[in-house]
Amino acid sequence: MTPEPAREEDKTGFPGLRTWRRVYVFVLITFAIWIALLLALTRVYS
Amino acid sequence: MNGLDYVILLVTILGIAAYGAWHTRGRHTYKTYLKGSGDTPWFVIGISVMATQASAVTFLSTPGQGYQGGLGFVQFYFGMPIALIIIAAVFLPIYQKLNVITAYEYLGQRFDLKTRLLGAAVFLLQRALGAALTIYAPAIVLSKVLDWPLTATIIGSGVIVVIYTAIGGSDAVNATQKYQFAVIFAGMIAAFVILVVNLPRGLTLSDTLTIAGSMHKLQAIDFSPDPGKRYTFWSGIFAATFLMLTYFGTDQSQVQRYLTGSIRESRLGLMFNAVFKIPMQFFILAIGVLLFVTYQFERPPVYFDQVAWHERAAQGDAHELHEIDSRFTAAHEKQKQELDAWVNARHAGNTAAASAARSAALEAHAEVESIRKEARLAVDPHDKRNDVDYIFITYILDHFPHGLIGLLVATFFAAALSAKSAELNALGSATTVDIYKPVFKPSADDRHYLRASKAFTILWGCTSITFALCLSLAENLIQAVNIVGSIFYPVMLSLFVVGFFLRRIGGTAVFCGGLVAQAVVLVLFFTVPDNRLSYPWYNVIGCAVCICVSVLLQPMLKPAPARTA
Repeated sequence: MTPEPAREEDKTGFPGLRTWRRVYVFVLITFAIWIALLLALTRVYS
Repeated sequence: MNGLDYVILLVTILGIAAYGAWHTRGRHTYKTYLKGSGDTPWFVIGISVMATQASAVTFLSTPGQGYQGGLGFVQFYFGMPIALIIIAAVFLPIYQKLNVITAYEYLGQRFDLKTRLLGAAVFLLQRALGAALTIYAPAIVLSKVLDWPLTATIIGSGVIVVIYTAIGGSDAVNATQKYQFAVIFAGMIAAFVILVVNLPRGLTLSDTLTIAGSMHKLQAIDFSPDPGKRYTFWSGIFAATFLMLTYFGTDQSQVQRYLTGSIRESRLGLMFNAVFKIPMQFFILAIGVLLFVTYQFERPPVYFDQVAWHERAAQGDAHELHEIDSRFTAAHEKQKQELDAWVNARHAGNTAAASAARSAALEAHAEVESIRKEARLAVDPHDKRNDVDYIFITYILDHFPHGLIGLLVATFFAAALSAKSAELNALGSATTVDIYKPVFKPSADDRHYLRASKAFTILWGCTSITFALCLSLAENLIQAVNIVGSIFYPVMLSLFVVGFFLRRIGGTAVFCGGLVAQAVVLVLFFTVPDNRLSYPWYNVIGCAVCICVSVLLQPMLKPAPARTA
């Protein structure tokens, strides 16, 4: 079975992040990294 | 400020405004005036969304917030990535599919006219107040410290933004926000560099962080479950998510920004904000923390709002204030000596001496803070006034070279104008599309609605300037803006949440639910003290009340007619 071609609105235009789901996961990972860094700052200097 | 500063300020602000009006002159239909040409690239949408949220208050007041409360305020933005993902995945495709100009058109299509009018009315009420704050906030601080007449500052900056927004509509807002944000970015980078360069001699980055951390300024994350604490991890993740969902998903001033592009460009613009907003707020708060460390070694004013301080002295309290000021000088000098001893012991690697000096420095700091509180109470015995909004501007005027002072003041005005233009654009759009067109003039031609949109933009501009002239604020400015939002936002969000996710609920049930939710939030605001229930939680409570009332009421009413989306 051939997969359906992606609709224009479903294309992200990014080579590594081809679906919106991947873009959202990328954003959440970035968010988690920010929180981890802020937590480290809080723990190290409190 | 000298002549060079004024030239930089005027050229920057008037130049960008003139460009916005010129660039978009005479090429509008009713739809493009309100919604833009539809081909805005994601980067411009991202900047536009960011610039609309970040008003002058963000850049003037947040460093003061960092000085006073440390980095904890950054937690308020933890809900943003989650909210923006929900909006990009759920809200945006529905708005694009229905090809709406305003978010409240969706309510009309999903429910009925009265629910659409309720959403639009709540938006107009709270955004009109917000627009007044947007222009009042920088004007009150800058007019005081620069000795400008407050009325002229409010009217002058208000008129500039009304002119180019009314002429160019949504495209002018986007076109000017790009350049205004460039000015803001340049100003804040310059401020950070100057602060780092001017750190007290011999103080390393490690010393700076250690001192700030010991004085609780680097506590970026607080896991306290206390709902009375405004900024905690939990209020950021849960309560602020609701607030951000409402602001970015249902507030027309934001919806209008990302509806100017295709769905792909809009999503990327939102994701740009989801990634970069937290580091941006961290950076601005970090400027406040650097200011704090600098002022531990260099004597600051005991009360940063020096105009209020001298006014109080002139009212007959000069002797008391002078006595407080003298004690502050002595306590600050003692603190500086203890801090120097601590830093020297650290550099010498003498752990025992460093530990003893640290304790002495913290004790001296507690004394300094206690005298600062006395000063605050001396200026205002009810402790309602706050001087944190004056901290950053005081440092700028005392330490920045001429030219850069002009750039930083231009930064504050650029931020005020960019946020205000988006607000006026949205107020004009919602009034035309959601109230004037369906209620008063359903069948006029596009030219008529274009003229009406321009007229309403001017009318809201004049209204917000008038509001701003009548305002008087006690709270820290940025918190005042967020509190106003939290009082009215729960109803807006709940109307949309019910519309998107509870398909069996009809217009009458959600309309009643919205009114009950608004009443509950107002009762909470006026009866429950802020230290028992902080404002970010109003959004969760209001939304829950509206959903519960709608669900309970619907079975007693006729079944809702099937509607799209």
